[in-house]
Amino acid sequence: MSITSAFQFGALVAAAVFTLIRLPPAMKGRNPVLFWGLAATTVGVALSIPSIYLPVDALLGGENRANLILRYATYAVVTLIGSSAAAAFRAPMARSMIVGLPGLSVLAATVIATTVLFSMCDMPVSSPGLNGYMNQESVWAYAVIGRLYPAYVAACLIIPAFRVAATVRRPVLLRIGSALIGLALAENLIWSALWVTGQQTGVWDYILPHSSVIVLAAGLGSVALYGLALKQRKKQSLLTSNYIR
Amino acid sequence: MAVSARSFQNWRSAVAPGESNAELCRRTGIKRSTLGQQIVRGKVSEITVVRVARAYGKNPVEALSDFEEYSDLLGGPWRPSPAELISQVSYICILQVILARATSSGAPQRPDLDKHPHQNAIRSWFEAVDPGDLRQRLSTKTGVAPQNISAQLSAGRLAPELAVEAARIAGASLPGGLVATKLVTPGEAGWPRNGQQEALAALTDSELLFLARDRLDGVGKQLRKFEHDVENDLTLLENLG
Repeated sequence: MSITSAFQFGALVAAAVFTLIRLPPAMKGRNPVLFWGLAATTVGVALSIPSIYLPVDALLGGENRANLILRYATYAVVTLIGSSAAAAFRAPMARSMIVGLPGLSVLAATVIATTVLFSMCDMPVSSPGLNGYMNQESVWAYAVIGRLYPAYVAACLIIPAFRVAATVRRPVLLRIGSALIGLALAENLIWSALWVTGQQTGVWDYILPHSSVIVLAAGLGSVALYGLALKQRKKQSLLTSNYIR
Repeated sequence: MAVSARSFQNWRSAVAPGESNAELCRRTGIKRSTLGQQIVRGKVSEITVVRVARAYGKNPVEALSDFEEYSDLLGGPWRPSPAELISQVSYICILQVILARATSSGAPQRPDLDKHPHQNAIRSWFEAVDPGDLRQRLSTKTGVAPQNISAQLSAGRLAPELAVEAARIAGASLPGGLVATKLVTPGEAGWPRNGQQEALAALTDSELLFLARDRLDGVGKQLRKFEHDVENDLTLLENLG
């Protein structure tokens, strides 16, 4: 197994496991947004793996419509998890840039541009990552837009995430979780920047996005662990504790 | 930050003659790596001196006064002022005294100071001895930035040499800051037994109430900040947990 596919399947397993873990609480109405975000992540990661992409695309007619689904899934991931993260980090600015009027305008423009550009592309044969068609201008523009939007959301959230991570008095697990989420965002941003500016990164073109999914899952795991620890702790008045100095 | 390793070695050969590092560590409970590192770096921390002194039956304050940095520790004023004594009483005990006075039908109860230790005794002590510009003067004298001093006080600590220097500047009892940082006990610093209770008892009713008001004000502010943090943590958990 090559290092690329190790990261791809690692990311797929991480996303799928977290989606399944979130299913029962989501059905009870606890944080369904996160569940749908993770479900979209699973779909997106799965479709970025050639051995899954090719049969799925064959089912859809073999004209790379699966890639369009992959794009939509990616947008769903970054919008859903991005809005949750902005709320979690108490970053109203970032939240409005993602799901406020400015954010939704950017999202709508992205979705429309993606759909229009896709319809302009001529891609009769399945090609994972559309690598066979990058010489077509419309395909290239379509691919750029597909990376710009996640990078935009990541850019909105990096500072709030690392701000929480840098706050000494916050619980360690939350700081680790925020730092990992921040790291995943940074990976995504770097990957998009490298790709859009046309840098040849070889194997990193696969490692960066997929490891960012794994790192994101680890960050969410750390936050969830804090939740578990909090549940175990007995509720008592802050006055009885040692917080007061 | 500490005493020099050379003077520490001289001092320990007088206090614990012939004891190896290993024996010293076993008796004091200091980790061998910690002691070794401090000696190699040439700086031995005050807490090490205090623990060695205690383990070998010497008074820690006297032990510190054997070092150049603290040579005036026993020479200067050592009797704590009532304000210093009261600064080391937790707000809980102050409230207990108020309740005892307000509802007493029999003999006044003595607050149990050991049961309710003051959580940020050093800040209270610092404020109690502060003539008004202590932070500034301490900073000028030691070269430690005022915001660094404030950060240490907020975190409930103060480097021993800063605590002693603050006492020198303020004209307070010299070991008082060491008591407040919990480096030495009030008994080791020669504070009178029951001194804190007596200082409390000497306060008039109004003085006691205003003292409680000021303390509760501080505690309330701190708690509000903490509650805000808790709220932030729960928001994070609700959205990503």
